[in-house]
Amino acid sequence: MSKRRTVPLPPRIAAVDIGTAKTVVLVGQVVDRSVRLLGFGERRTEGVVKGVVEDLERLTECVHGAVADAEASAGFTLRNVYASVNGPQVDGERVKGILTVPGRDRRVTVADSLGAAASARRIEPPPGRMTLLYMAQPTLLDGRQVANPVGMTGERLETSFWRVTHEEGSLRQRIGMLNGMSLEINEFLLGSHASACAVAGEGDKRTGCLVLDLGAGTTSWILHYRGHILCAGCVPVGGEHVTNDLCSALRVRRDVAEDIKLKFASAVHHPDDANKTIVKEGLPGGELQFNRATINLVASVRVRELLEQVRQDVAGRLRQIFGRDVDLTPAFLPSGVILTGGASQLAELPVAAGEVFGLPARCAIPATEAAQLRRPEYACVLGLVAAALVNEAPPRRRPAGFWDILRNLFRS
Amino acid sequence: MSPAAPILLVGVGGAGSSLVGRLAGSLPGTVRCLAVDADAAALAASGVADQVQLGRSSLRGLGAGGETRLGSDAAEAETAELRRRLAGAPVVVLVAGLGGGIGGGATPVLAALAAEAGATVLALATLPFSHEGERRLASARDALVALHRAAHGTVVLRNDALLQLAPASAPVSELFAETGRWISAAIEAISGFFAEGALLPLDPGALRSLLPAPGSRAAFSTGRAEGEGAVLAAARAALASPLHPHGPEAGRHEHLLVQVVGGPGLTTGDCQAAVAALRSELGGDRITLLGARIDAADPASARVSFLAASPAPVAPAPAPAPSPSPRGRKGARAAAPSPQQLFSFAQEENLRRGLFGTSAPNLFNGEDVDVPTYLRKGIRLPSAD
Repeated sequence: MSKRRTVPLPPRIAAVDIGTAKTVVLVGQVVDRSVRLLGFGERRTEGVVKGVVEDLERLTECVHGAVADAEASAGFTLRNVYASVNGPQVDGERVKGILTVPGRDRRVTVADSLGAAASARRIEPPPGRMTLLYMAQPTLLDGRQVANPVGMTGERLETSFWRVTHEEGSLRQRIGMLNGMSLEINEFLLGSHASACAVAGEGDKRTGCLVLDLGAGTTSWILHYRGHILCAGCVPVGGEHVTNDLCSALRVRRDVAEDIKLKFASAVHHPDDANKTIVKEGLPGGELQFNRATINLVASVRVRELLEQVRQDVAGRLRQIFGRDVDLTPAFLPSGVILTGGASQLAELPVAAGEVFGLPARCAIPATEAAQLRRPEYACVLGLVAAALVNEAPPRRRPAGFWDILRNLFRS
Repeated sequence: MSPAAPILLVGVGGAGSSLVGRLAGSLPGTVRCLAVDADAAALAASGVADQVQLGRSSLRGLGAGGETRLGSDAAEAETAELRRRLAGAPVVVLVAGLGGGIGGGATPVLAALAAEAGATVLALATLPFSHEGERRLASARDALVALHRAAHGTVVLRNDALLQLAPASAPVSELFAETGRWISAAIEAISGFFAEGALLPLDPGALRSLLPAPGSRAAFSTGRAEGEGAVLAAARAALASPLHPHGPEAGRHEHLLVQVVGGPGLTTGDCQAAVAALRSELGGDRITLLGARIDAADPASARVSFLAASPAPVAPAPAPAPSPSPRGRKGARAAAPSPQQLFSFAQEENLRRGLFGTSAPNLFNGEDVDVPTYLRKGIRLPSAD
């Protein structure tokens, strides 16, 4: 080592989150145990409907705009990015590798441990799909959960992962789009995982929680159980559906419906609102009056249905994993339901979620130093930075308490 | 071409002919009526003087029993007679319930014959309630596709949309009567377009410029209001009526015709305000026509009707890749649906889906979750006022 100590460069992480409503590019750097916001770009997403790309050219243009804004504010050109994946093209399943521990003493070696994992990874994804990620789940040795089986004795070693797969064509399209902007993709991360990193604390994840990221076009969820990711999924309904229902029921334009949704709609129907009217001014045909009960009824039946769809999706995944029906009880998920994403701002959403899931429910906002980013719709992109930090190669001189930095960064 | 009766109103099938029969007495002299059905008893009961009985030999005086195939075959067998009856009218308005065999089967045939004879064909069709069964709804949807292709403009009244209006406890018969009332209001409004003594007259040729070719996407509605600001209120009522169940997001139209009927105090300002309100919601950037009439018999109220249309694209737009439709179209007359057929079918369904109109259906447990929840679940909303 030279006498002059090299000052380790903290990694600069760029995250790209392409949502149905907006595309956000965030550049952050970890300095003094906190994320320093280096660059930020945001554009209204064009050409994406319900998480599916319908017009690649328009999407490319808006992503390019967001990247350019982020580069301009950061003052340097982005090379490598982390990108989120979300929406109906993303799917997942549990893959399991089982190994009979060889040898007379049945002592698990490192090779055995790796072998079990490798056999899980050898399971081919369904045709037309590509594997994106493996999320580790606990290892079981003769049915017992063990942190590290190496050196322990047993017969049956079982390692499982939650494997995230993506529809091949649209993934190639996305890679091509970002590569076309001279961006290398370090890794794709699951959007709901990123959101959970931003809003769920370590304690929540350890005890068990269900994180719902309610976006504009889709709602993705991820279930943390006893400190690992048990399963994840997505329902193709989001905040835009509430707006659409209001458009249809009130016969108003999209922008008016969106405004009414943000200001007046609630996830809980109060029949006694029947006589309350809302007057909306500044419309082309003069002012209009709406019945508050109508607004709440339309919004609440949609949101309740959406939550119910998520509940069914979760229940279905759990049935696959456990081979039987699992009740979502506070005993199973002590930290309950955590709601985030742009559409989670709907009034009284936790009340509705609490009723549908039968679990304690709360809304969460990502914790960050940048005040303008403390909004639920930025949970995913902020979480991307947090999740990506884990992947970044440690700097030449690894700073002490690397994990502490992480924890402090996104403690909610 | 008799200038005295520029409109030929044709009731097709049981529902259509009985409706036309009920209205026949109260319509202005500019409207001639015709009833077309296979059921001899129903035809006799309709009370329409001018009648055509379909399928005399094949159906022997009975209805088609919900079989659209029988209905279309019966109409095709009577082509010569129907041509003769349809000749001479510049505007033909077809009224039918598409759930029935004759209504669903014969109406597209009639529309094609009338269009061939040079008439502008406007169809007023009702789609059955969802609770009348999936099969009836599916055959009505197929009929709508065929009708949409043959008629210049098709106005659809979805019975499901009426559930929002009737009291929750209303019996089914009351809901059907409600359908009748709305179709009647529509017929009255259309026949009033060309009534004599108008301040701002419209001529049947105007309809031709609005709906130049079959297959146009059309929206029609009518509204009535009383008291101060009645004209603007009537325009809003028209936008909110179940004849026009689509929010403004359903798409804008190139052509717009507005008819205002008011008391002697009707002002130009009133008319302009109504047109402005309708234009902002519906479009009408290429052609906007305004007709106005004074109705001395009803001085306190105002009625506003509109017909908005977007002509069918000259070159049929490339149909979306014929991915297997999740609903499974069945019973189509043609073995392989032509791209145009799929195209217009898609358009009709898309209107219901609002903002998500053109995107692929979003299926969750077999339901298209893009359609508003309250519509799918038949939840009645509190009244708007």
